Amino acid sequence: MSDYELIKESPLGGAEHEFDGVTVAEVIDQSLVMVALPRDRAVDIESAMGESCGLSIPAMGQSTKSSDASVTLWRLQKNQVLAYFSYDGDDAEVNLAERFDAPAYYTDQSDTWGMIRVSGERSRDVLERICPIDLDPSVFTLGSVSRTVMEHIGTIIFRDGDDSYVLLTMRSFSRSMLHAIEVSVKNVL
Amino acid sequence: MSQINRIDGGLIDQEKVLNFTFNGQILKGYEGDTLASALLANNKHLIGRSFKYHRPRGIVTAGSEEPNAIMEIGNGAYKEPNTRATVTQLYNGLEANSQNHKGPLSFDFMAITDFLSPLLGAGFYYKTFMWPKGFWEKFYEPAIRKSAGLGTLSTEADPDTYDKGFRHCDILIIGAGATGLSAALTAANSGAKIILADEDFLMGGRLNSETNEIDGMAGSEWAKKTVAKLGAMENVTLMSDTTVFGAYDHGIYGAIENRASEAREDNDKPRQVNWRIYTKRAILCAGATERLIAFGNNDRPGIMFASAVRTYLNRFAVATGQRISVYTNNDDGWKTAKDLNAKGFRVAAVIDSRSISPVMRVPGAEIYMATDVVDTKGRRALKSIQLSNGKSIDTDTLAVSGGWNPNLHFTCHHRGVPKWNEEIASFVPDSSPPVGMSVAGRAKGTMVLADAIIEGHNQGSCVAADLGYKTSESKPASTPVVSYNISANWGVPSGKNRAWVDFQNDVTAKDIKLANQEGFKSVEHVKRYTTLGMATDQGKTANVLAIGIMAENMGQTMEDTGTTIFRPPYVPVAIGAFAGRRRGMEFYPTRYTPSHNWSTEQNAIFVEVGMWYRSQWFPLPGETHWRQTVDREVRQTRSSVGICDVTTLGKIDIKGEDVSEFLNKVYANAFAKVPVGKTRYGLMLREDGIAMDDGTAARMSENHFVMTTTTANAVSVYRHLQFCHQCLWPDLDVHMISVTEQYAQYAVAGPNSRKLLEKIVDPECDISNEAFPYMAAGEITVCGGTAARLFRISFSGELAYEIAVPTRYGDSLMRVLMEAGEEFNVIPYGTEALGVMRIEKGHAAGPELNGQTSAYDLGMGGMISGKKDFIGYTLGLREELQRDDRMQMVGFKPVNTSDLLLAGSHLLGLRDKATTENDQGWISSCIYSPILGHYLGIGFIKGGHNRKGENVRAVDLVRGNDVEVEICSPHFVDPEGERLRV
Repeated sequence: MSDYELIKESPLGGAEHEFDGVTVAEVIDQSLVMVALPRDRAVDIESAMGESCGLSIPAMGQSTKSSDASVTLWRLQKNQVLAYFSYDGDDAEVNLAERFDAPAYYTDQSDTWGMIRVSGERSRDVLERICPIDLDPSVFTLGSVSRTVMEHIGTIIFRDGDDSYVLLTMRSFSRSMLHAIEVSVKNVL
Repeated sequence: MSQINRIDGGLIDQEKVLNFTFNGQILKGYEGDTLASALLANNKHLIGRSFKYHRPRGIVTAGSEEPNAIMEIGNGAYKEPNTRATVTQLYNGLEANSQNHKGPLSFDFMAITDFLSPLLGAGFYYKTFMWPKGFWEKFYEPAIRKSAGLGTLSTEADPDTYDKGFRHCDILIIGAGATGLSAALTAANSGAKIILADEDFLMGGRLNSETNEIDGMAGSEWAKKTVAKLGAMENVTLMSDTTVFGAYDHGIYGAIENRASEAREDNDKPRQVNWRIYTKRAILCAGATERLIAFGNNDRPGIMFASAVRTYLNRFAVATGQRISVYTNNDDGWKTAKDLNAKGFRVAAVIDSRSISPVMRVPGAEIYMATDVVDTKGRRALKSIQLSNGKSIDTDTLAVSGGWNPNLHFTCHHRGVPKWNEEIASFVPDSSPPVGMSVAGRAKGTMVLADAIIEGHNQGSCVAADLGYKTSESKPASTPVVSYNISANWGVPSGKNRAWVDFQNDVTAKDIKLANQEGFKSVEHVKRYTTLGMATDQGKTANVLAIGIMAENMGQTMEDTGTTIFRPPYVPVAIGAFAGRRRGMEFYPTRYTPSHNWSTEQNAIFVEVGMWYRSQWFPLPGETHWRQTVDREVRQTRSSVGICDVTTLGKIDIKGEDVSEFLNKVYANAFAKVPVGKTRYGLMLREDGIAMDDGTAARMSENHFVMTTTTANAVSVYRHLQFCHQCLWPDLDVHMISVTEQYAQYAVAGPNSRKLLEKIVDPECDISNEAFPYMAAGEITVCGGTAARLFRISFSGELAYEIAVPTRYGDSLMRVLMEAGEEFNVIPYGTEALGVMRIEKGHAAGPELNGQTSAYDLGMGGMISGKKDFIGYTLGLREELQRDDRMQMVGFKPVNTSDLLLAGSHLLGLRDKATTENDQGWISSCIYSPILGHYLGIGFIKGGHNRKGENVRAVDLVRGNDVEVEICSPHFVDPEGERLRV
């Protein structure tokens, strides 16, 4: 038994703010793991993931869901996918590798990113002040994912609901991103 | 009496009274007014003074082209100069002040310049203020600027806020007049996503100012209904009070949305929003701007565009005078007389320069055909006009129409060149507008309203169909055809009187003639010599008129004379709107380290390193100078243990079967055989053999390395690796991802570092010197099972480790390390102590890896592997990079140990003069060493590796320092590296 205990902390301390028409909340119950597809093994891996979780590798800029909807795969690069899944333990990499049972390279990214969900009927009005990509529901369809730059910050944006978007920025930028969203809310609502 | 010029009707709400002030006088207007219409309603014709001659000036237009009615709006820090009254929506409490006069507006002391005007023609400054040369900057220019300026700045920070945003559409329609609305209707009905933007706060364009009938109703009513219909459509975004100001690459347009009314109600709301609009297509329906005719004294208050007289009459219910005359060269001017008659005003006279029959009957008006206005009278307000037939007419307003110029500016933003159209006597867009842009209506030169509506209707449908949307089957709105005939009239001989062309910069027809006579033939040269079109209005009312005058002067065609180049922005845009929300600390985002909160609690002093905020040092109570703190941090670390947050260093996880081969290709030294559990220092070169970055790579398993980079190059190294993989060796099985932020990483340095770590590392992980020797790396657990990575590497030269835990535990680990280290008097140290210790140890860093130094220059030539190929190998063998007399990195210590040594000092021979020819090198990094008790530095000197023991001078002429230094090894502390291995 160690004399010392480490206490975990999310990038924004679980921040959550409700506004008229928009909710801005840190996502703290999801993990993120990079799944790299070894050379010439993409078919094997897809087959294994399909068997274990009912997952297929999504098209670029799109996502797929496991049969129990607990794991979402995002495709932003040719030879890798990002797995976004419900898990808040410390061993997301191991946990996912066990779930997938596929011979990929797994790298935990859960602590790399701060995740903020912007949801509500005015979410797009708020986001259009910082997000250069087209969030029109017919263009950025449900499940779409894209990597872009918002307020000089490299950002991944994922549409996880009709009026709901998850923004991921490198953890150290989290406060700046939250501030950028809050300024947008203040300017718009 | 209030609003003596106000009449009934108009598109304003006369039930809603608004109070405002002009030069301190309280006035009233109505909701829906502009500042200009409210001033005219209150009989305020004299509203400012001209730029150069301080001539009394009045409102000329009713739009964004206004050259005269530019005001200072607001007061204190909120004051905004050079605001056009003609596009400023009136609001309660608006404070407006005229500008550019000394003393009261009605008696400007600077008006004396007007009497000196014969001396002040074009090029006057260039010719007069030539001597003495040095006086221009010190005396002449400040004096001229002081007397001839526009508004004044508050010199306080602008308290208003600004924002920006991004919008996307299939079709952007610029201008919501009859053409734009018609285009929007058909395009929107097709299903395309539309943005309709208009600079006016009331959409409708000229329909709001004219009396045309469309589809059996007033044009303004048709516009209102059409706007309402479009507003109800989900695929349409209406952006009124939004001026598109530039056409940029790839179908991107800049637009500035004025939200002043919202901002006034809530000070926190942005005053303006700068939109970037991404389009697939754009239809320019920007209409046309009327132009003047150059005649003697054509600038008096009361002389205005004929179209503006109609706008104030029909839209704002303001009669600009009681005895109004019209001077025109086209049919459109006659409409003014017709509208005035219809409202019950008697028109004094209609003067048409054309030799044709009167266009219509104007009851009560004197009609003069083939006649010109040659002079006017009235200093502060127009009193009479003098005609070319010798007749004088008393009149208080002269409505002038010299024809219409299509607003084709955007078609030229990608270097389109307008063509001359003789039929309408105007320039029209050429056939090469920016990609994706088409033009319709008056902006294209289609001057007849009925034709413009059809053109807009068809364009909307065609462009939508081109994008794959269904073709609209609707019919265009109908309006009676009213013909437009014109005969160009650029001006009339004005004798000694000045005929004004550019009102805002006070340029006359004579100035243009003088420029032509003096050899300025190109329109671009004339522009710069006379300052024509260079004011805030960018010559919207002046340029074509000036080109006409030039063409006549030089006996050439309009097309041969040509136009100047149109560039964004179309209208003045506040710099604040471009800055948007990026002010002060929000200029760029801030990155916080995992230990930031803890460091803040310790009163750390922070330093910006790129976007990172890092702890620079941690002062203790009683420490009054940073050197005290840093010296303590260094001594304590070297004598016991210190902790530094090094999370900012780049960390890249690299996995795959070919990872060691990959690293072997990107590093200059060998990596193929690094054992699992070992770290190796790595030097990365650029293709040209120059050092790019250094760091370490630890082999965590057979197919897994963790690479570290410098903080500054974290992104560029990652990008370089991606390039190498994707472009050079795509067949290698290599997968990389940044884990810089995945792990909070702390350097634990000093002789007690192992003892400290042993208190938190779980007992099953043996970190003894034997089990975990220098350069070891491995996965461990800490504090009862938390996974961590441990690297036995040292930047300080001490026994040291870097420990990494998932960042969620970063703050906590810092607190635990400090608590566990209490018995060793552990201290945190910042980037300053980090720098001191690395220089004491002789490690190269940013100032040494400056993009000019090779591995050999840095003293790392021995690391270069000759047994493999790697990036930078071949070009690194170039003779020039192998020379012995290159600038080579060595250490420097003062001969007199009490001397101050400064980074940036240049190195000279002991008896050499401080000249460029004698320069032998420079000190790149320099510190005071609390361990050695004197200053020391590392730097570069010619052939330095073979000059150790030689004395030279380190000279800093800027700071007045000249000391003798000895060239030595850069490794000042523990050169044998014994401390690292204990």
